[in-house]
Amino acid sequence: MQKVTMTRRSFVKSATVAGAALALSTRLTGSLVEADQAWAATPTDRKMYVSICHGCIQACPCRVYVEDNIAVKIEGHPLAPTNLGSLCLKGLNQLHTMYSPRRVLYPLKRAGDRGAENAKWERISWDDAIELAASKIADAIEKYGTYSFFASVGGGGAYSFMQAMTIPMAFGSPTVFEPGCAQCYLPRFSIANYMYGGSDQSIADCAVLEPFKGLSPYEAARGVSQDTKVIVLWGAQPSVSQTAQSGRGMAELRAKGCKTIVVDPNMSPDAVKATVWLRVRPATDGALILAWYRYIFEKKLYDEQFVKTWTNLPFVVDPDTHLPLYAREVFPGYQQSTPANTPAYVCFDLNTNALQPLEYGSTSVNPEVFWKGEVNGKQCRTAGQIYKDTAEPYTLQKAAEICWVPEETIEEAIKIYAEAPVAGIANGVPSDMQQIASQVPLGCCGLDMIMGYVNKPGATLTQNPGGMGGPALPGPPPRPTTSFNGFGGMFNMVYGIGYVVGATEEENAARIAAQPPGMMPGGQGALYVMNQLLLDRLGMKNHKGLYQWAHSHIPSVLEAIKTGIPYKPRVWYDMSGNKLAMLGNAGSWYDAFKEVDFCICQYPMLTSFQVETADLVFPLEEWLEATGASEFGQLNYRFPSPGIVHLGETVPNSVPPQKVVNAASKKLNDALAAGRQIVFGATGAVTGAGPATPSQSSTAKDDELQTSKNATVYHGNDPAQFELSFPFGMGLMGGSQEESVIQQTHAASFGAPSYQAFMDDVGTYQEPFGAGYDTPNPLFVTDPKAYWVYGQHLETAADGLPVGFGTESRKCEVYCTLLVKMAKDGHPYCYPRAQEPVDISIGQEIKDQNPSYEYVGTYSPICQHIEPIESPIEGELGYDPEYPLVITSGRVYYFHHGTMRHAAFARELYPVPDVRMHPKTAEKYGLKHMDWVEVTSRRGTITGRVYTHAGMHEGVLWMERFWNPECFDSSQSHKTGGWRECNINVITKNTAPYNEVFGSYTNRGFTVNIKPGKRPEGIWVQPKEFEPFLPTQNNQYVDGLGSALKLEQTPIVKFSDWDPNAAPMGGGL
Amino acid sequence: MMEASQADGTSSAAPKPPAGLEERTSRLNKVVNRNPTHREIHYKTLRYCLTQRLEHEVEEHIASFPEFGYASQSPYHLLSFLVESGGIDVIELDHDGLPIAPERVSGLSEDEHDDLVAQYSYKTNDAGERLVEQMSPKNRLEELLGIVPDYYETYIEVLGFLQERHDLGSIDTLLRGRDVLMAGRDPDDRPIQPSVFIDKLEKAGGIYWENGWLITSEGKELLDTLREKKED
Repeated sequence: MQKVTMTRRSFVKSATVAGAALALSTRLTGSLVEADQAWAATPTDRKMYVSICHGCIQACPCRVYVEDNIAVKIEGHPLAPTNLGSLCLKGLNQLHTMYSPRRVLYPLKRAGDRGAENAKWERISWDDAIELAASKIADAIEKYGTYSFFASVGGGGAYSFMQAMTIPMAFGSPTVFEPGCAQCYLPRFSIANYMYGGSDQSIADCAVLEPFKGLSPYEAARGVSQDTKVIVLWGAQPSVSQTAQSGRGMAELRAKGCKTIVVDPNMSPDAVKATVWLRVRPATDGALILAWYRYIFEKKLYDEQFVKTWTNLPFVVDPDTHLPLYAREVFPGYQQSTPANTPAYVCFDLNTNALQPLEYGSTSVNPEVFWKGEVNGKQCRTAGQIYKDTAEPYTLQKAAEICWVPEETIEEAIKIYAEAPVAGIANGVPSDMQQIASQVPLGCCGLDMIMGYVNKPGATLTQNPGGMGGPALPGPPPRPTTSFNGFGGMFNMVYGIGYVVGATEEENAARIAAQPPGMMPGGQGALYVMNQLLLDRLGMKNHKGLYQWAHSHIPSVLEAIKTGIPYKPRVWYDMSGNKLAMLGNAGSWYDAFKEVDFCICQYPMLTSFQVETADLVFPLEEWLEATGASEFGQLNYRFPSPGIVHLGETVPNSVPPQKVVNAASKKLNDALAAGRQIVFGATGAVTGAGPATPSQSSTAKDDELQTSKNATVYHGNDPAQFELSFPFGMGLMGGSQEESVIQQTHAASFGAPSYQAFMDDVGTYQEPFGAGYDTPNPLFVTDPKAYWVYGQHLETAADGLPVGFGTESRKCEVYCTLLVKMAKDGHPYCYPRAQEPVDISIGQEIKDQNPSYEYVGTYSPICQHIEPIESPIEGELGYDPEYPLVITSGRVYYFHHGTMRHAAFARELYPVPDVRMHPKTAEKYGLKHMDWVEVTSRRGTITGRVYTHAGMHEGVLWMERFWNPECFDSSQSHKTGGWRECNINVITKNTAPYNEVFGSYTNRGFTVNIKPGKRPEGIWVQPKEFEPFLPTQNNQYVDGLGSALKLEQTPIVKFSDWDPNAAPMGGGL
Repeated sequence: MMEASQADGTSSAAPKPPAGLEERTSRLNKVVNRNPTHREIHYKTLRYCLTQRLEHEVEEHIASFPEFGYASQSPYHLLSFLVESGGIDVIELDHDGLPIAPERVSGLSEDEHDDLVAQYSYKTNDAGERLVEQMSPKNRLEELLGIVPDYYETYIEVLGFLQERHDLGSIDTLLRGRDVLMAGRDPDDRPIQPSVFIDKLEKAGGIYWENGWLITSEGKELLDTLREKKED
């Protein structure tokens, strides 16, 4: 070992970071001594494993090749039914992620002040790290109560959704958030669930599967056909977001003659190849959708029979409640013949020319879809008439004016969609990032419903075992019901809370009265607390749709952290990546960090967020290390995802939270056992529970349970009845704290007797087909005849009626009544105790409508157009000549969410974010292609590089999210967190108006100004500059002290093109 | 200020003149208030070092603070933050305990310089002194008491209650159900949690945690003054 000259002064300076040098890549730390040249011997063995790419959430099956315990090559799996052997840049770049110098390989404790400029880290043991995290949580709960704890998660790189949703509950806290959620997928997921109890229209989130069936030659040989002939990509760009899977799938579809309509302000690859491209002005999709409705209604292009039989558009609606009238409200003494869980409504019957009860399944009436008249002394309309009236102003001409799309293009698109025998809409993320987050999926799902494109071959709204429907059970199916709290309503089941839609009130009440109501220990006492957590969750009064994923309203959490009102979240457990790159108006969050007592992070990398804020970082496994990292499957196939290689002391994402919950719970229970009080925010002080389960309390005996809404402090319960202990309720859910358990479970699911056998015999336990590809293993491949099923709603249910859908009406609720009920009292989430009604400020007046109709103080049950709050249109309320251009964003091929900015090859291809604009726009502002440009909104200024192309509208800019890990590289003379320079989320808007249902804020479709800029200091652009990000033989924790760390247990990275004479690029240790 | 343009097109600011007292105090304030669990430690350390102290004295003093039990850094690191952020000056002392003047190290190698230094002492500078004044619990408490008039009596009551040690449960029991909790409701019309009063009083330096909540000496002093005024 060669020693480097070092003064005592330098040694002292280095000593504080020496531990970190062992735990981190060398690029992030100082140096001590130079390592011996070390590399593995010539490879003697190459072994292949099957895996699933984790580069995005579509999870492409792949094969991974390993030499000397080092992953050296990844390729798409040839038997994968959609990616068909291909893999995109994100998947291929996994080697740059796995072996990135930015990996965190050991638990790290901050050894300096917060902030990127002087970030220092100390490696600590796992035991010390768990103890530190547990102490901080337990201390805060004892000092400030259970509401002091909060968690967050994200959708890029580490998917710990279940852990993040349940860890606050385990500590008796209601606070968790995710930068995505309301801004990514929750609105589309939930709205579809509300409207028909089924899966949604998102391609990116694997909800839309039908278009991609039958593409695989193996499946085609088994008679599986490809049935999608027309597909509408509404704000989706699969070729970029999920390149190898649905991107590849779209290419196959187009090659087979499928027509595509793309609605996108950006000229994506899918837009370029579309049959019709509607280049919509950002955030005006509501107007475009309403124009489609108007045209389809006017030209009678909808499926009249389906609309009359299977939608609620013929229902007569009470103008005061905005809810459909029940038959019993109009016809006194009326007794329906259908079961109580299937109510009868009111329609105008064309056979009798009179109002009649409309019973489910009845063929004796012929309901009119569009009708208005007097009922019970009120002027009423059918839901269909309401939609028609709402759409009426949106002629093609009007839509063209608002949306900046030519009339004839809109008409051509509608005709292709509506005149096809079957078609489907795939609705993408943009609307989630705008105020119209609920309006657009309401419109898009409703369009497929009025067209009857439901549960049909070729339609996107089909239910199969890959979707929400789940596998069919033997015997006649029951009346469909839908539970809503948590993914798939899991919290209804485990916590007992929540109303099951499709069951009667009596059935719901009986479920709640059962002891215990759910799977959770603690009975009614625990139910009370869980219900109270829902009521106390931040921002939920007005944005109740967030209950679907048990998340808080992000701006309300931020406000609570900053002000401490109504309680202060102060110990933070974050389970994902770069919050500063993903949260809207990132600067507003940075300013709030100073109010956080302690920040625990877990992630495979150090990002801006960890460098700026984390006090403790748990090292997580990357995809190639983590067993069962992706369990999404692909169509009717599932593939294994074994832990193939391993570095340092990284662990699966479920391990740290499980251990922290256990350790903190022990401390808190010890405190209770010692007679100290713990304040549950939901109940007040609690004493002396010890390990016992909560005592029972009777709903009936508790007056406040009957009367109180959202009254945390006035419920008047005797704290003694809440003998709660930790972890509360079901505790932390998701995964295990033992990696061996995860491995064995995963191996067993593929029929392997042991994990060792699973890894040794790849051909038997990891490949889906036997020899000759003619005998698929049923553990991997579901029989297509059982998987691709249609017309489920038409089958006969156990009650003798057609099965229908999991809504109250048992029909597709194009007019989404659930939203109206939800706005009032939190139905169906807040049950048995209700949330308060939304403020009168919630909801939108529908302008330009004849007759005038308003949704004020409630959620709109139908699609609306809302002009963006920052509008480029002169004369609109939000117009400001200072910010004349509208900007939106979207993905590029190279990255998924905030991941992979450390991947050298990806950064060489896309070093900094493009600001796409029309050449005339560039010229107007004195810019040329590839110039640096400053983009300024009302929130701040960032920098990007001009990319001109004529596909952009002259008034629109486009830019992808970005952050720059090079900014805190050890080579930088002045380090920053790398999130201010080129990050569009510095200029996005996280203040009101929010989407009414979900509280979504404005990541897209706001206004900016631009001017020539300069390359920000510290930003790398040239390929040579990214060398420090390259994996090399020297880029692990390996350094001069490697031997002391049992170096032999961790392989040295070596690539086939490695040059032993090249200078080490890992920091020169 | 003119910006220099570099050959590679990156932006680079021209050298800035030395920061004034206001700017240095502001910078220090940012660091002192960057982490709530370190805030009072920083404040007390700055106050302690108004008189020049030896390194071990400062570290031992920091370790004696009740707040140190909940800090996430070592005494050395906590002290370093204040030095690096310009609130405390480091004074090198020779083997006789005398400050080493700059002229004595001129021309010395780094190792020779090291040999000259026997120990370090620390002294709060003008920016630190200014911040100690600004952040005095008296100032912070007086400001807090004036922010929400509806809370005034409750703050006083809690300060009085915490003349004896109480856990959060006792304080919660004292306040839960009171009308005052409705006075500070959030945008969702939700009553505030009793813990809000604890958070605010702690942040103002009026109470601290040591196996329970207790009033600080400064909090007691202010409480007594206010009570005397009321009696007058």
